[in-house]
Amino acid sequence: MARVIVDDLTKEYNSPGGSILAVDELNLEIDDGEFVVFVGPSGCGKSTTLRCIAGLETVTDGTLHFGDEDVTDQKPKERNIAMVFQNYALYPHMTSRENMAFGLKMSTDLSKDVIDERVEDTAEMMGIKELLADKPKALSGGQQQRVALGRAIVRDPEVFLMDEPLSNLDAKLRAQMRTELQQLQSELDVTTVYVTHDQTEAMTMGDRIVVLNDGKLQQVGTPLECYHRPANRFVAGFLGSPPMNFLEVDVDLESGTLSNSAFSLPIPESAVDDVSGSKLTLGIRPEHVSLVDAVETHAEPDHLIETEVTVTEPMGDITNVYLDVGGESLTVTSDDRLGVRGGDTVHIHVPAAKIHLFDAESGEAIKHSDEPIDSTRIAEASGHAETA
Amino acid sequence: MASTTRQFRRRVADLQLGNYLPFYSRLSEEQRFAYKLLAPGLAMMCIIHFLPIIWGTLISFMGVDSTYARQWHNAPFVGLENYLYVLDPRTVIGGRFWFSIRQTVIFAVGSLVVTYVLGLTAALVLNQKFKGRFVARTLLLLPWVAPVVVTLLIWRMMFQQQSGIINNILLSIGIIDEPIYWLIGDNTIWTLVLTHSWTQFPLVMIMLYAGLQGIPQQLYEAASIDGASRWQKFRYVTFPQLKPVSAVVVLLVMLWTMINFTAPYVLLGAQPPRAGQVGILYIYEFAFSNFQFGRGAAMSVILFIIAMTMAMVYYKYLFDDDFTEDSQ
Amino acid sequence: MREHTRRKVLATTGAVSAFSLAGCISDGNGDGTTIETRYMDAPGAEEYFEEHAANFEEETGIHVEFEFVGWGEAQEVLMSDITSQTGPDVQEIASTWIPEQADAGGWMDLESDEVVDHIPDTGMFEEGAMDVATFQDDLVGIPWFWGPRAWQQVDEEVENGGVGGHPDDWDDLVDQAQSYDGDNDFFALMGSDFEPMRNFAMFLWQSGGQLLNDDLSEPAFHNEEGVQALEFYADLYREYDVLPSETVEWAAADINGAFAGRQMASTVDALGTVGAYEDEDGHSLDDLSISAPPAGPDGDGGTFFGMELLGIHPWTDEPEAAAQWIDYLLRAEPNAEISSTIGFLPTNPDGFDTDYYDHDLYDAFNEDVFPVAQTYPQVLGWGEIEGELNSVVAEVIQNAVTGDLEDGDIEDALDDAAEVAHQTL
Repeated sequence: MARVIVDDLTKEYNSPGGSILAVDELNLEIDDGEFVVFVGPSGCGKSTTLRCIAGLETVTDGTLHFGDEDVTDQKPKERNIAMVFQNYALYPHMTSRENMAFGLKMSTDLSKDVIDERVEDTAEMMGIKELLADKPKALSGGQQQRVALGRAIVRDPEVFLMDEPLSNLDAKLRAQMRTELQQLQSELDVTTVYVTHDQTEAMTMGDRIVVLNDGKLQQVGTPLECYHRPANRFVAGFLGSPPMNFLEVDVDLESGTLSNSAFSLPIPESAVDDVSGSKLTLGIRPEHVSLVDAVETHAEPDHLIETEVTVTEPMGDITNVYLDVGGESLTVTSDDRLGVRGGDTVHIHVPAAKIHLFDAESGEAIKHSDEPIDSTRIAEASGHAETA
Repeated sequence: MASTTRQFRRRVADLQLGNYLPFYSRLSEEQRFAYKLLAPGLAMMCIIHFLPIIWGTLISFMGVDSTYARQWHNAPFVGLENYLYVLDPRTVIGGRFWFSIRQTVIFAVGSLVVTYVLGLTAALVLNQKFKGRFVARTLLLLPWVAPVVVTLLIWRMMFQQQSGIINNILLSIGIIDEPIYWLIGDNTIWTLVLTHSWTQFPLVMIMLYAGLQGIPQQLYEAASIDGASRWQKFRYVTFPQLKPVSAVVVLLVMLWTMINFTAPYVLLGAQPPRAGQVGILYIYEFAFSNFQFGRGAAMSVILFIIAMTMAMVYYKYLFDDDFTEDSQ
Repeated sequence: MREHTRRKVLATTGAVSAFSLAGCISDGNGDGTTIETRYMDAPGAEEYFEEHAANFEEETGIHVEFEFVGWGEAQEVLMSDITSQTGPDVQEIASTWIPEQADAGGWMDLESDEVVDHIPDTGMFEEGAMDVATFQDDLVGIPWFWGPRAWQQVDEEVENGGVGGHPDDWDDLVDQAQSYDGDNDFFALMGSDFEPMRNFAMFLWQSGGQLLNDDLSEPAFHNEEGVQALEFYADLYREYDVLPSETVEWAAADINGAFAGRQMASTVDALGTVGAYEDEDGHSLDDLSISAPPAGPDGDGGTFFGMELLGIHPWTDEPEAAAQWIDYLLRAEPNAEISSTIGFLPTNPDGFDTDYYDHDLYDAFNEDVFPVAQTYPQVLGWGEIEGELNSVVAEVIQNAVTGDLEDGDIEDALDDAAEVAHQTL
């Protein structure tokens, strides 16, 4: 078990068209036993970072420490890590048993009996004991996934590295494995770095998530922190489905309003001191916008915006309603009590407390919604924003 | 009455179809098309391969010698006499024939080992990323694309005991004290193995190289993580992953070597030393210089059976098992 | 094989006129007749046949097409012709192939009525030549050219090495070789790469032995004389150090090149070697002298001669024209010309009176060497025996060179060959 300390990690690839900066001065501390998820779009540098931690890539600049040990220049086999690959990378010519035993055989002096015992214990735990004699080809995708996990677990490594391990599974199995992996990790209590592009996995699995974009760290925090207190517009837009709505607004400090052609809203009190300049990006999550049924009786009738429905997407429990607000698209998730259809005119309510504001230029967050990010901090969180 | 008539009719219909390619009529349109496309190739195979095999087998049971060379079909049927004659190790011919079979096995197995080691080494080198590897690949293919007779004659010159460059080099760097006879005496078989392997290894190289390219990079990464050294990665990942293509290579090289005529014939000159008289060369010398076609055919059939047996045993115990399981 | 079509022959000889002449002059016998002929490939042969085919056509109106086959493939090509009964009308025959090919029905009896009046007068040939040409009472071919292997030496080299005269017998040969102190070798023979049994046969005859018994029914080469001959041959390498060890890998071209380059002072070989020597710049036939090879312990002389013949295949449609062509080629001039071109002696004795053989050396070949020359017996199965002997002799002398020859090996080798010979006969 170990803390993983990433210090100014930089990775450049040389290519014919010049060098490509894959990871740019990344700093990160992962606690012992912590489950950290790297998330970001393709090419954001999350896999490269993982491979640097694994030692599969050499580091261009910066250092890596496992605990107190500098592992920057160590070979993978010296790092005492285990890795699960997207395509499992099971050795096709070996049985499950041989696959699982291989790492122990290569990296330890354990006797064959001890190795056997450990393999069987792990297989038992993973529920794959009856698959031990089979070669990967004879196994289903889910079974292969378990063997691949078993191969990592049996090593009893200091750090688990997982590179999109669930992305080749079908949706149902993926959901099931997600839970299992979490349980497993908490039982084993091994420091785990998990890479995914799937924000659901990121939100549900990690103790903390690390959001990366273009090789740069965007935000590190618990899933809820990142969701409700996104550090910038990228994080806000990346996490959540459907994604957060963004509307460009003009700031009028005199009248204390945020407006565009379709609406005008008062600047939330909590943000008044932080607002400057004339342009901002307003963010609001689809679930925080509500469709208003009785306009006349609404508590804040002034803040209602009249819009037209373009498309509706019934999901069963909820419906995604796509609206046109002054030429920009806005999504609302609704319980669909109103039964709106495309072409309908509806009123929506944008509660000031739920608004996020971002600098229009840099995308940095200026104000967050008042959603609580931690059950113990609900009271504290309500009412004022704080930057994560 | 009506039912018997119907039965009769159906039987007639069946007979007609059955008489006229019963198997063909069961095929789908697509399959028939496939067979039509295959037909010319199969016909050529028949003429070039199967007919001579059948004909050779036939005359191996007949006393075809110079007297009957012109009218082999009139030669007397002699049963197994030809076989008993060439297989009896107590007679000179029988002894020579068995010796030639032994040399054939040495030739085949020796060439297999040398071509495989050379081919694999070259493939592994080519599989590394280094400047000029495309040039290297072309150069390494040269021995195979060069006209084989020319290559062999050049080797023959190089292997000359007095004037050959090989002895000169070995002498000058002090590996040997006395020039070696490469082309006469017991060394001949090894000279043959080396030379033949030289002409064949590029093929092995290209096939293994293709095999190497097909090994997923992730397996090596997994092995790195698992703590395997370079050698262990080769031993536990590369080598087993090459097994399907190796299986094909081994079979082909072994069979092709057993029936290779050009290398011994050209390399060893007009009077091939005993040690270099591999089966096919001995059979040729025996049958064609003596007009002993019946006995020569018997020898050929025996060589054919030995080669086929080796191939089948190999296929059954190695090929079948691992090839089918690991190939996909 | 290069095939020379009618068109090419005509073009190269510029014989449009010859063609029209042939059409006018021809007496009708050969009008429009074409025969196909085939010979062993040799330098100068193409030009020879272009010229003489044109001459012959002019004379008789018979058109002769010709092609060549290399020695390496000749036997196979002939065999395939004979088994399928197709191919040219006239074909060159190597003497050692006669029994099997004649037995397989490859050759017409030239004394049969169809052709006997048109072939050359056989009375002019030596008895030995006619023996070779006759198989089981049939005349299968007309002796064309022949050549014995003779002792040949470069006199200047021999004298510089402190040796005088030609070796009379085996002891003499060994003594001279051992006392020779030239920079080069004293003596070398063609090695095991090309028919080493010709050398063995020579030593066998010199020891007073023979290859087969008198009625050709049993092998005789494995008796005392045979063992002595092969032992002497092997000892020339391992015991006396007379034959340079590298010669064991030599073939015909090597020995010619070595002799022409004066790598050794003497050899035993056919006229071809003399020709190769003469072709070298600054060399002249006057440098050389010729004699019969050294005699054996009991004074027996012996050497091998080879002979080429011309035969007619029985499937020919033009036996008469074919015989006429052979008759033409055996005239003194054409016979001498081709023999000289290829490096042999003419079978037509008048050939020696032509310019081609105007040197004492040739007389020595004819007068000193031929009397002791022999060739292989004409008996069915000889091909197998010859192959076997070539193989065991090669093995023995190769082992002698590599040091692997042990006591009793020679006897065993000859006994093995004798067993094969016994079964074959």
